[in-house]
Amino acid sequence: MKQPTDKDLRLYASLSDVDSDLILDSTIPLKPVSVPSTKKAERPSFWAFLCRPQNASVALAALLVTLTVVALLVTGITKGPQTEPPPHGTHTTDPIGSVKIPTAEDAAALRKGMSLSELVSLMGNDYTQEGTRYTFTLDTGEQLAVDTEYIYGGTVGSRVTGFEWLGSAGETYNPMGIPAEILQKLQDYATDTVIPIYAMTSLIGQYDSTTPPTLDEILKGAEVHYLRMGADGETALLDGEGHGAGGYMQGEAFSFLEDVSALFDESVRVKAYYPIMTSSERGAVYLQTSIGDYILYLHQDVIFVLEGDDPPANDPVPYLLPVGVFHRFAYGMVDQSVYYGIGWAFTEERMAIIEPYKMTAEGYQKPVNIATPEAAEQIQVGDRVTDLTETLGVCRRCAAARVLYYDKESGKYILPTPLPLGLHYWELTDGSGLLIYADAGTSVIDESSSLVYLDFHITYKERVDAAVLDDMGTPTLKTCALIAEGMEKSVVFAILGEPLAYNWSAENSNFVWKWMEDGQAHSLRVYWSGGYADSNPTVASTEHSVTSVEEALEEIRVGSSFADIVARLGPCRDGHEVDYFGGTDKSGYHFWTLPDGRCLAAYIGYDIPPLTDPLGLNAEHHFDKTVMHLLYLDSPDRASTIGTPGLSMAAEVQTGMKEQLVKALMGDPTATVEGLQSVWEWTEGGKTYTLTAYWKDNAPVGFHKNFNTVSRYELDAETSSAPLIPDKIPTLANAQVITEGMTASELLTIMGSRVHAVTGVGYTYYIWTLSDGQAFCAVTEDDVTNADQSERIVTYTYFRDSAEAMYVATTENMEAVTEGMSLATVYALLGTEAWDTEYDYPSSLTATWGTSEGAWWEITVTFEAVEYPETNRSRAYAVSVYIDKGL
Amino acid sequence: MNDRDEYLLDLYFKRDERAVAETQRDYGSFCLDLALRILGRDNRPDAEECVNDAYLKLWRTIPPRRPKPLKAYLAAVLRNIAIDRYRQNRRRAENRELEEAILELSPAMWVPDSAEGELKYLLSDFLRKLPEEERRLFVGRYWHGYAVGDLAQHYGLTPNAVTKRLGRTREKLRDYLNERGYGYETTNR
Repeated sequence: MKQPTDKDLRLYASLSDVDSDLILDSTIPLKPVSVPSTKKAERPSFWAFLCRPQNASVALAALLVTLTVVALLVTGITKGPQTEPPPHGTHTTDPIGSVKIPTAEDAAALRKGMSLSELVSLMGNDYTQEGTRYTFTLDTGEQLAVDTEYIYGGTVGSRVTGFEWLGSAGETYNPMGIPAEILQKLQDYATDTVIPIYAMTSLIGQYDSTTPPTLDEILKGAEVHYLRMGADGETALLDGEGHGAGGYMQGEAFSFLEDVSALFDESVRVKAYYPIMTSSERGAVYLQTSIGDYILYLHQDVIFVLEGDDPPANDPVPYLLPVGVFHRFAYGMVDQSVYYGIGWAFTEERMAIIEPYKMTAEGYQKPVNIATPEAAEQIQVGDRVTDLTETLGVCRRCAAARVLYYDKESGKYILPTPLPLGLHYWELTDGSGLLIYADAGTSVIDESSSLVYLDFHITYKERVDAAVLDDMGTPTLKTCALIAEGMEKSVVFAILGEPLAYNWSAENSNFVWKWMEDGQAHSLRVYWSGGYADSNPTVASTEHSVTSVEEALEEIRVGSSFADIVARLGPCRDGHEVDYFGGTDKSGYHFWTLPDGRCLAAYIGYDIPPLTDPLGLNAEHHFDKTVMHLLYLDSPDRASTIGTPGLSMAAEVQTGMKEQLVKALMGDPTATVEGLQSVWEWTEGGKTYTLTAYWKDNAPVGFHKNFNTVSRYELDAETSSAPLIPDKIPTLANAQVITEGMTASELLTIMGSRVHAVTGVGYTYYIWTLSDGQAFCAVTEDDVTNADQSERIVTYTYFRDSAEAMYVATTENMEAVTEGMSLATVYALLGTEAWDTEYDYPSSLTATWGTSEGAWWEITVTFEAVEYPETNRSRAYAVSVYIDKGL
Repeated sequence: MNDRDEYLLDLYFKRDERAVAETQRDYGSFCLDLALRILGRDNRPDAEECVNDAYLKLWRTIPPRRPKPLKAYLAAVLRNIAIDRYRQNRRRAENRELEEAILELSPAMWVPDSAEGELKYLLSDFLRKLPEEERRLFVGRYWHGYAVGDLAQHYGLTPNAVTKRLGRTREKLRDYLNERGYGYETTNR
């Protein structure tokens, strides 16, 4: 069949923009896709693949990827074991496809933030999984470990959060012998899209010579490889003759290293040079030179020179630069032009050539300060931002970014102009300071070239004390003093940074900034003139208040945001920054030294809904990271006790704690049955202790998945490790022992750990593939009537094989649903994935299932929660059942 | 716009994180179904991710936007994201049902590249002029991506009847664009 072209897709996509009232009345009720029963045999059985014992690890991993496959398992409740299991189905198996062996090039394309599907798509599904870590073996034999974390809310799903090269013995992959501290810097630097280090063995290694070469000399070497950037943004690694080692070369290539070499004075010697292979958009190189360490970072055709000692935690550069801004616009619009046919382009004309910032033995050549008060007086609000660099020199913000553009023709280094959007400031020659704010006006279309420019104007100008310039972008007493009535919100944000809290309303919006200064906690509330409909309101009034540090600490509690602590106590000791949602990119413990010498340790991670709410109706689904645990340590030195098993850490473990949090407290467990239990063993005071934590996947139906928390724990002294659940393939005889009312522990002890467990709020599915091929499923429900709240089996069933389990919500099972059934029982009959759920907020849940048998039946069940005061828990029961049998 | 949408929008405006969870509750199944129709039923991971990307876009665009009705805005955002993802995937994954619909529709709404930006106005106008059932069939098939069989089932028609009606509507669309100087027959292709 012919494939749609890009044009076909654009036309198809253009339908998205028709008036909204024309769309919604054309929806038809959600039903499963037409899967006639006759097609059953043709339907690929993903589950069959998962259930093969030899694929147990893959299966558990694939569970993460597919999220809901297991939810479709439960069907055809026919209680009691089948003594003669029917023959296996005629399904086909393994739709995953042939095994892909990832290459180093594939690995180089990895980036943080990737979803699991992207990861598996890129690297193949031949991996081993330990918890949230996936380890791939490349075609070269080296191993790459990829760490993931489950993200909630706006970015629900598992995302790649880090990488680690492993040698064959599990050691750090470091064929170039990069010094450990540099390695660490590179890995710290690689927080955004950069894979820690992609070091081709054929690239230049470290130079130990007493007279290391210059880059020019390096470039003359026959074995030199070039990191090149194509005009389309694709990076390619080329050999010395320009042949690609993969990747693409389109348009005019940009020789990165040649231009890097031109940045350096001839006197600068290069001690070591480490290319950092990045995502497809960027390239970078780490240079150890005789005058210091630098990271040279290529974004399109702009080289960013970053001092190696202080690499940025993220990638602020594209936001700071007009080039970046233009590129960003250009990218966005080019992307959209696919749909709208509007061509935007980046032009290099808006570049101001300045004196070169050569790096010499004396360091950066800094330009003479030409920012005189007279020059500052000439700048007026309303002026177009064009050549301020000429009259005032480089602004401090731009200079701090060390942004250079190397112009090949002139051999000079230039700063982009006009200045980027936002705040700029100069220290004037008389010691005072100048602040201006550049904002975008209307776009200007150059008729001759059809290029579109943004016109920047100065919207704010203020002469200030130069001392305040050091505080720009953060709330301090000095910067707060600049906030005046009538100031635009964008300017306030530029001066104070992002606020701690937003309070939107139609008429009286106000934002709050908080910070510590002079031993006190300060708060500034800014009231805006406009309501939330005004995208850039102005300051109506401000309120400044002061409280003591103790009071500020009282406000830091479990549930606070990372931003909340940073706003009160300043940056954490490891310097991680606040992200867009008020969290940070690193889950785990962060530390703050307090004025009294103590140390605050706060675990930042994703929160979970409470177990006491069977419908998850009152759950707060955080998609920012919040404080999940707080510890006040006697001194910062005690920080190292976190992550080491011991009684003090074990004492912090509580029921309901997230698995990652417990592991952060106790370190890696001595033994683990994945998803079920972990054991820590340690010796303290001459005694041997064990802590056993039992895990439960604490996720509400259809939203969170694979979120293990402590269901119970045992701390024992002077005992051997608690026996772990046996790893075995259960038999039919094992299953036949199972009865209703058994606890989950008993169930697992009998059936073993080769289980797929899917947990909803208040119930859990356990599914085993027996040694004879049939599948056994037991559904447990938390006993909300007893103090121990143990999980007990409420029903169990057999499937002919796992393929059968793909077909849920049969008409037979629909008719078996009755009022009074618990949520767990109904979901056991119909599957956890209802086609539609409707919450009558906040008291009940109505869920609808359709059949997948060709008959268009729909069943709608409404549940209501019943409270059990003795355990402070509740359970949902069906209060109405309605089956629509269609035509 | 219903009260529930007002409530959701208020949550977004208050930057209350429950906004996303509540949106998922109200429209999660609808969205997932739409994404699956575009990306293929066997590509659930990508579909879920597109839905989540759509939620993220809502979070980032509301405020200042206050789209009404929210569901339509969400659906349009998601549709574009999913089509874009399909475009990226198509070399390694196909969705015959979608491709069939795209290839059916494309000749009928062909306009020069320069005029593609105007299509949304033209299409809205065209759809308003259609009889209601004809419009619903057309939008169901080409906007929502429903299979002909599903439409036939829902509207009590035979699949053949649906196919013929869709064909006639596409002819009308081609004539409509030609009359206005945009279509295949009136431009130099």
